[in-house]
Amino acid sequence: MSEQTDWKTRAEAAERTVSVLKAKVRALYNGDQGAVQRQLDRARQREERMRARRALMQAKNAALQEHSARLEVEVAQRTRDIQIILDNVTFGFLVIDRQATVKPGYTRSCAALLGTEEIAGQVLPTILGLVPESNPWLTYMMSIDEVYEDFMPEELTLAQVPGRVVIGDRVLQLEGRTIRDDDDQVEGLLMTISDITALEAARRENQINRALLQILRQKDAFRAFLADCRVQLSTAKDAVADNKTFVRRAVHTIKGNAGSYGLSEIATQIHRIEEAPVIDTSDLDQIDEALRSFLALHREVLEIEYDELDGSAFEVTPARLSELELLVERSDTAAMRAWMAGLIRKPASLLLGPLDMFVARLAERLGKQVRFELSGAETLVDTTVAQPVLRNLSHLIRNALDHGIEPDYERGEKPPIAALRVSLAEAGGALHITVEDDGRGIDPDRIAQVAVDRGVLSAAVAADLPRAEKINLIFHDGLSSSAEATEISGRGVGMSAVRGAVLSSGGTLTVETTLGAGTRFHITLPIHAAANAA
Amino acid sequence: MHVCQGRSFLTDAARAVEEATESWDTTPLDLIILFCSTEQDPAAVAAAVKERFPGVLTIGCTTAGEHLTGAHSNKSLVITGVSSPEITWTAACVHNVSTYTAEDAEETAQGLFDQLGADPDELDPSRYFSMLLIDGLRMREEAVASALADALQGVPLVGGSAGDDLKFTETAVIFNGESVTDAAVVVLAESAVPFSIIKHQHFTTTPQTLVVTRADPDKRTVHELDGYPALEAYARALGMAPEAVTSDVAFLHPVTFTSNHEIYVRSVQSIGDDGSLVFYCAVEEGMVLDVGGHHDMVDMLAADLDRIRGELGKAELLIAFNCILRSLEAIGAEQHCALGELLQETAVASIGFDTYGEQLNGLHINQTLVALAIGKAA
Repeated sequence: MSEQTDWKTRAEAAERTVSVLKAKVRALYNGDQGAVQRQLDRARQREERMRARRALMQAKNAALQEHSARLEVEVAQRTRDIQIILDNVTFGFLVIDRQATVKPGYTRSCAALLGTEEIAGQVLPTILGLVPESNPWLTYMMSIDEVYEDFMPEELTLAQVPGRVVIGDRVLQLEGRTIRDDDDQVEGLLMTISDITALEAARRENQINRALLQILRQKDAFRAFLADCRVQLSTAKDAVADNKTFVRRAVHTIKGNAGSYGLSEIATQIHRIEEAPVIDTSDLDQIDEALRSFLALHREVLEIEYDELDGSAFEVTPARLSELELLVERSDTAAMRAWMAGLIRKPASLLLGPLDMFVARLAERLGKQVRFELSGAETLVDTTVAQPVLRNLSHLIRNALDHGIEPDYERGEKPPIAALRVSLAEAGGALHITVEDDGRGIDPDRIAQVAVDRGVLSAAVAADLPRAEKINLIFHDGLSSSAEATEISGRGVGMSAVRGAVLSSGGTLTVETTLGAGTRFHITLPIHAAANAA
Repeated sequence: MHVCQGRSFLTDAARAVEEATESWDTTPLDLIILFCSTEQDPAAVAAAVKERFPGVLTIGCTTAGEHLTGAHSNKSLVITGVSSPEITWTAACVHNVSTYTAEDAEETAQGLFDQLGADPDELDPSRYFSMLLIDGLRMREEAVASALADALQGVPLVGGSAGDDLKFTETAVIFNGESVTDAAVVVLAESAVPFSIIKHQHFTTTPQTLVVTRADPDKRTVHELDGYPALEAYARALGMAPEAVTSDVAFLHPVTFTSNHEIYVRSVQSIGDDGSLVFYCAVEEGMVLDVGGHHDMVDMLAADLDRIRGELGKAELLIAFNCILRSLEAIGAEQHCALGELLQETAVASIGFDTYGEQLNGLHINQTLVALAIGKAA
């Protein structure tokens, strides 16, 4: 190549380069950055958006944490307050005779506590504001008389004397102790009176704060619980007239779950409703209102609007919707069912609520030591199938804690800390749920006896019943083996609610129990709702 | 998190899978990741894994080299089983990446979000990450990765292009018992444990520049640089005769492209008979390229991994996408052992492969190492 052509080639190459660069610069001035640069810019914008979103989430989390921290501080503060109140509470002492008349020689503080100057010679229930000869007054008088009667053990008769009295806006606590003469006869009843108004208020506030804290930690599950309550209540309202069992079960379940979130006032209120022989629409409205006003009162912290909750709604994106349209066009029912199923699968934890807290609290109240294990809570479940069952699972747990697991001194060779296990798993085309305890097991003969006592069965029929069927009596409506309904183990509708929910979801429920060793409830549910189910 | 791992050099897929997983315990697995060379038939590998671990979400692809906890190999199958109650994994297989559109990406992403029960508008970005394994020979990574990154609402995305041991004939991705070509596997995961994304490269710029004066962006081909046939100009910039510049030389001397003060590597995949250069990722006319200079691979990686250790402590699992050109360079410089040791210091377990390109947050890049490191529960 001659020097001349070399120069020529170089000049041409340079010209070409310059013209490409000119075109590029012109494009840049006209806002066309080129594909490569556009891609890089989009990546940068994405990262920028992500950073912004991360900052937003951090701010949100920070706000939540701030609420949480504030509540924690308040809980600690209230706990201190309670101690201070306890340390400084004023006690009054007085002695009453068999006619509940206050004997002379009471402490001066009694006058201030009871709000009356001269109390000697007056009748205590009257001073406490009960109308003479009214029912509460008579009950009070009778309970005093029984203490003096001294026929039954002292602990029992003293427990019958009303211990909490409300006078105006004050709450008094009264505790009785017997004074006995040399022959061990009751000669006086020493009443210790204290004003627990401030204490009760502080305790209540603390309880609410603790509940709020817990709800904040499990907000999604709580929201799901509330949405479910709304559905349950509105269904129950439709059933008030002709399906009383359903209504009672729904109310019972809401009570249990409200309790598990620490909403003890609401639970107590529902318990009173449950106590009544008939539950009507106004009772259900009352529950609705209690939940609504709880949310309204704590709107700032919880940011949940009761009336915006909708348990039956699923969000469907336009893309998913067009998928469905396609399936409808093809009338591909199998694919449509799969589409639906995908939409309604959610982690079981969302439907279970704070089971661990629930167990901890209940165990504490029952004075039992329990190690609780929950596995498979993140298993995806079809809400239409699993929700009715999972929402009732607390009945099985409550039952295990209340009836199954013994106090530690009755556990003999077994570890003093009882074990309670709940597990969820998908296997062999079914959802398996087990609730297992290592408590005392179910005594089939005892269950049968209770059924006979309640008039559910005749003694003759009961005697011939096979073991498995005796055990299955625990699922019978109204057959709670404990003597009476308490706030913990209701009126024997819990277990039947569980079985009802399992059966109507197309599942099976089996019980394996060994006396002295424990009980295992095993529920299997179909993964998806049956094709012809509503 | 519980991780089982294994490697096999057997060419019979079923026996290779059996050998690589024979020591695994019976912990139920949430995810299986596997990478295999062209020595193993990917379809048979996928089928064997499905038979041995029915119902377990399985992702993988063919490669140009395999990595498993500290050691690099070729002609092997590497496989990792993950049991991770802290992480919910979902995945989808995208067919026909050649014609994949932004609308398709929206649909893929929505499906994944639905499976997780996640609301894309309310995502907490610190809890989600995504991964992409994509056919390495369709030149569709830019389009697919950026469409997916948009559709996934900017959830961090890392990935790699499948390889075929530098044969450049066919690459495949593996999804739940099947091996598919012209396809991609997209993973979206929600994690309750911390994780971090690693982006690493060891190149710098030199004062030598080249302007792309004629290019075919769809084929990632540059015909002319500085107005000369591409190979001629490139060889001159390297101070070599054109005939001395083979692909063995070219991979050591990538060019770089700077945008917003960040350096992106553009490596030569092959040299055309007509003196054109085919690159591993996007090129266009008017781009000003710099001839790249090297830093030491081991020193640079050590520095970048230090940052990850600072963030996460020692990670539980590292999933790495390493450019084939880095791997070739490491073989030439006998640095695979040192690099492997660095990865082993960073994570208890690691798995990865040598790619035909890496994807990071919607960009398709090359001659880098991108990785996902998953930390311990707090």
